[in-house]
Order: sequence, then C-alpha cells, then structure tokens
Amino acid sequence: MIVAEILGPDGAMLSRVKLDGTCVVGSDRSGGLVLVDPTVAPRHLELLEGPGEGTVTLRRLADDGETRVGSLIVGAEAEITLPATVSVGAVAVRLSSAAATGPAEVPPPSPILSRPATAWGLCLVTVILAATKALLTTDKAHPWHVASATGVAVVLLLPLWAGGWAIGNRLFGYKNRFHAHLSAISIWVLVASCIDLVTTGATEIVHTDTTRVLGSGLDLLLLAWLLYLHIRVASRWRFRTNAIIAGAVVLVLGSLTFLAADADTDADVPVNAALGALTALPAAVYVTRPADGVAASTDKILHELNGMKAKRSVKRAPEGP
Amino acid sequence: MRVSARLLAALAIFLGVAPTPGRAQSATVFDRFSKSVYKVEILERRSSTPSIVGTAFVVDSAGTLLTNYHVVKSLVFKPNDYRIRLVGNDGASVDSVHVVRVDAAHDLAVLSARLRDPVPLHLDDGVPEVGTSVFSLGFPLNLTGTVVQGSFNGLMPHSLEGTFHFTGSLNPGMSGGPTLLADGRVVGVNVATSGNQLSYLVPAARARELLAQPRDSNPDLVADVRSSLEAVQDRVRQMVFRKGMEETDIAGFRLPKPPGDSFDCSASPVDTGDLDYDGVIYRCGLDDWLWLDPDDASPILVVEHVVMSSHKLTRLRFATLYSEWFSTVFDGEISNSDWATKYRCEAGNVRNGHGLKFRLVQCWRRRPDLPGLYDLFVRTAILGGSDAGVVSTYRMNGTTRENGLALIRQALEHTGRVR
Repeated sequence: MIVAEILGPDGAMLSRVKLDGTCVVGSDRSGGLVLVDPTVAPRHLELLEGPGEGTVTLRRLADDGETRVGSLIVGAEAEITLPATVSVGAVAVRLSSAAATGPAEVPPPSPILSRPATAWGLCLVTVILAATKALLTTDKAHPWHVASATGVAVVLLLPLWAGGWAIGNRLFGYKNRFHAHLSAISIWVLVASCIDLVTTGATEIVHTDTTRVLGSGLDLLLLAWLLYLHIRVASRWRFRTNAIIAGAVVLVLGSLTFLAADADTDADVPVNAALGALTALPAAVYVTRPADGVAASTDKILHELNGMKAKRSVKRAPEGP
Repeated sequence: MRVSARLLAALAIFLGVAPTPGRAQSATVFDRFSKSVYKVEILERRSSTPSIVGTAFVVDSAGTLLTNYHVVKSLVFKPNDYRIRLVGNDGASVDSVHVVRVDAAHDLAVLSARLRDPVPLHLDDGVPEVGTSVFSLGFPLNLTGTVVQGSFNGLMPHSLEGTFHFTGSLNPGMSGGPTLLADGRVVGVNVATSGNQLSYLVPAARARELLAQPRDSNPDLVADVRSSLEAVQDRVRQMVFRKGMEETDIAGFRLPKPPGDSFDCSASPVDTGDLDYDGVIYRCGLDDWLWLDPDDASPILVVEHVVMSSHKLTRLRFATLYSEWFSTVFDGEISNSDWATKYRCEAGNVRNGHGLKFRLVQCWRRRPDLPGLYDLFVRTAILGGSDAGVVSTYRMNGTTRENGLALIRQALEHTGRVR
C-alpha cells in the first residue's frame, strides 16, 4: 500500500490518498490518482508497487509529460525508494509506504474541487427529475417522446448548467459559492421552462387524467427542488433585506416559468402563480436552525481540520534523488 | 494589555534602553545575587546564533534553574532546530543544559544544567505587602546582567492563573529572571510587561509546585505542555461555563458577559465617523495569556459586543453597515500562525431557545502539536432588527471542543432583547 500526499506550492499537504498496487497517475478522471493541472497529461505515468519492499516503480506513459524525482528526470521507467517526492508535471506528490506513515486519514475535500462536484450533483438531480417527469407524463406507447424529452433535458440542461457554473466561477471565483448557486438557479429556471414546454407539448399528444396528475405532482417536486436550492442560497444571505431581494428574484422567475410552461388552461394560471410565490417563502422567514445543531457544524469543521497540517512559513530544502 | 507589549523574549528586537540610575540597595542586591542568574540563549543549531534570549536563575545546588516556558518553547517543539546555552554574569557559558519540565499555563520551565558552584536562590511562597521594594534581575535586550528596582503591588485582579503585579521596568530578555526581596527571597518569576512600568510576575509558589513534581529522565515535554493547557481549560470550564455566563443590559439588548469579577470589562463608544448611528463596544478579557506560539501570546478568552442603533439611517443603509461590521475582522483578531492550521469556518443562521435569530460564523483551527486543542473565533449578529443590532465576537485560544461548544451555546442563549 502506497500513500500519496499531494503538496501545494508552499509544500503544505493538500490531500492524501492511499493507492493499492498499480495505478495510473494523470489528469484523466479514470486514473487511480487524478491531478488536475495543465502540466499533467491525461495518462501521465504508471505507478507500481515494488519490486522490493518500500520501493515503487514509475513507468512513463505520456510522451509529453515530464516526471522528476528531485533533479532526475524519469525516462521510460525508474525504481525509487520510499519515501520520496515526485514532481508530476508541476505537481509535487510525496510518496511513502502506508506502514511508515500509519493509517491514512480521510482527506478533506479540496474546497476548489468539491464545489463543481456539488454543482454537478445538483444538476444530476435536476436532470433525473426532468427525465422522470418526461417518462411518467408521456404515453408509454410512445417511447420516442420519452427519449426526446429526456434528451432535451440532458442536451440542454447539462451544458447550460455547467456553463452557468463556469461563468459564475469566472466572474466571482470559486470562493463565492452563493454566486455560483445563483447563476445555476437562474439558468435552471430558464432551461426548466424550455424543457417543460417541450415535455408539455409531448404530453398533449396523449393527455390522460393520470398523466396530468402525475405531471402536477412532478411539478410540485420540481418546485420543491427549486425551493431547496433557494433555501441553500437564502440561508447564506446574511440579512433579511438581502434574502427578500433574492426571494423576489426567484418569485418573479419562478412565476414566469410556471406561467409560461404550464398555462395550458386559464385555471392553471393562479395555481402556478401561487406555486411560484411559494419560492419566496424562505426569503420571508430566512432559514434558521436551532442552536443545538451548531455542534454538528463544529464536528464537520473539526473533521476537516484533522487532515490539515500547520501552515509553516519555513520552507523545506529541496530533496535530492 | 497588548500582546506585543508582553514579549519579553528578545526576538530580533533591538531598541535603545536608557540605563537605570543605580541605587545603593540595588547595587547590593546585584552584587549578592546576580551570580545565581544566567542568560538563556536559544540558539539556532546550524548557525549557533541566538534566536531567543531570556533569563534563568538557580534554585538548588544540583544545578536546577527556573525560567519561562515561552523562552524555551521553540526548543520544546523543535529540538532538532534549536539548542540551549546558559551564559553567566561572568561571561562563562554552559552548554550542558536540558529542559526537564514545563508548565505552559503558568509560563514556567525547569532547566537542569551542569553548573560550576551553583548558588541557589530561595523561593518565598508568601505574598509581600503592597509597596514592598523588590528587585528584578535579568538580561534585557541581550545586554549585560541588569537589576531593576520596583515595588510589589499584589495579585492581578483579573487573572485566572494568579499573576503578581510588579511596578518596575521589565524589558525583553528579562523573561524568566527572578524578582526578589532585598534579602534575596524570590517572590516571583519575571513574565510579562505592558510598558509604563506595568509588569507581571509568576508567583514563586507556582514555581515551587512545578519543582515539586517528579521529573523523568526522558521527559515528554510536549505532553507536559498539553496537560498544563488542558488544566487551563478545566479552570475555564469551572469558572465560566459551569457557573454560566452572566448577562448585562446595553442599549436595549441583554448580552452575555463572563461571570463574577474575574474578567476585566470595559466599554467605549464606536467612532462612527460621518455616519449617523450610535455604537458601543463592550469588551471583557482576562489578564492571562497563553504562549501557544513561541513569539506571540494569545488571550485565553475574549468576549466583545458591538451594539449599534440608528433612527436616521434607512433600513438598507443600516443593513449594509451592520453587514460590514459583521464581516470585518480586525487586526489581531485572527492572525496566521506557523503552529496552527488555517481557520476553517462555517456560517449559518440559528435561533436560540427564546426564538431570537442570529447569523453565526464559527471558525476553528487545529494545533497539530497539541492534539485536542483548538483556537476558536465565533461571530454572531442578531437578525431581524431594522435599526438596531448587536455584532458579538468570542475568541478562545487553546480550547477544547467541549469548551468551545459551551461558549457558543451560552453566547447564544444569554443574548436577547430587553423587554
């Protein structure tokens, strides 16, 4: 068992992972050790435990990816003794044997990497909801409609959501999570209306009472999801005024969405408007938790701190081969 | 009391010091007792150059000396980077020195050295009368041995650890030196100063307690540090959290304050500049500090409330102002430390048992060398007010998880509006 510690530019450990036997190191997410850095090739090198005890073999996989051990550049293959610090492109990775370092701690998620992952998680849930609605509200005898509705959801929603995140992050930086959520929500609302229009169009072909009920139920589910997203944003807003402004934005967008998407009868208009108005509810009461729940947040922080080292300002001398 | 002003260990501080005019009594004390006093040099190993300078004094004929923990802290945690050397008033140096016991809570350390003809000083457990003339010995600013005459002024009123107040000029480098009566009985160990002749001593009784503890031939000094800091947390728990926070009414708000008279509390108006609002800063702290970093002392517990109100600002402007107060971290409130991780924070809205809603941010950082101990920064703001509110800050250093959580809980529960 090898322990790999990814080091930051100042030598501080960013994360630690245990590697079993053989693994590919690179920027490709299918690898055993993923290093997202422009200087790291998708399949940069292969890491093999052994041949001797406390040694590891580095096998170069990419022609354009450089790997160094100290000042030594790894050619086709190199055997090194652990512990050692290896530079994979510009990323420093400290390798050691698990026995020498003791049990590896669960690394805290990198704040930069975890946020897009959260966005993709939210996106996935949204797609599943949209696809489920399409599936249930479209006649089973017409699988093409199901496929097309789901396809529209996937094709439209995924890139737009990702784009929303990318733009939000570009403008405001990853440190500002609520901006990213806000942009994602705005895009979700816009795209949801498109999807809803498409799926509603499909259901009108074979509209039955059952599918209509299911459709309304899923509308509520979608709305609940929107509410949840809004709560996540509103709870991060500091004060009532800001939260109300956020709520008003969602109220307008939400109402427009539902009015535009589902107003196939006059009777639906006030219902959908009321549903849209519900999205403003968290802004009015802005979410609070009982003070008893603070301990859970504390333990989450302390758990994250367990994987962190002191921020020493003294730099270590570079290690030789 | 400023942290920087308490730094007695000379760390690249080279300021000019006017020589103290000598007196016959001072001269006698210096002549009689200075041979028991040594300069402590914590040397960076590779360059053999002093990194920190303090003072130590002999307490028995076996070569046992006392000094401050903050003088030797670097050595305790980084023995591979530093070594210790003693230099006598005659200029002779002693390299065979070991730290055998430390008490981080009272800022004391016991050294063992192979001294030639050690002349011990006698520790006096008593508390002299206020006004008694006392003499402090040490090596200020890495200069030659110095005697400072001053007066003894009893116990500090807001001290968890029982610190003496000495009116006399202690200067950086005199840390760990003895303050003694004219007959040579040591009443305290030099530890800190706030300038203007406001200086502080660790009572000799605390030093005697440390000396009485058994010594290991291979001492685990880090464990000593940890256990003494945990003992501080026990005292904080007993004194603050078990009794429960008290409450004080300020400008329509009921706010928590540490119990009893143990804390030093003060209030001052906020400098509002051109903005049309009123503000009061209310602050409570202890006279004790912890040397969690070798070159910086940290307060044990600080409670601060900023009470704001305005009938002239619009709601939005007040909210903006309030938000700025909430999100501003002032100098010294959170500083980076080479001995701790970065702070990790979590923000959210919470409500207390009375239904009052708060914005709460809690930030923790870990001290890897001291497992189980953290530094905590908590900030709360009462939500829902359009023209009045309170932004409170609570800081605890070297705290346990339980004490930190008790602080947050009690801070929230003891905050409210005056009906």
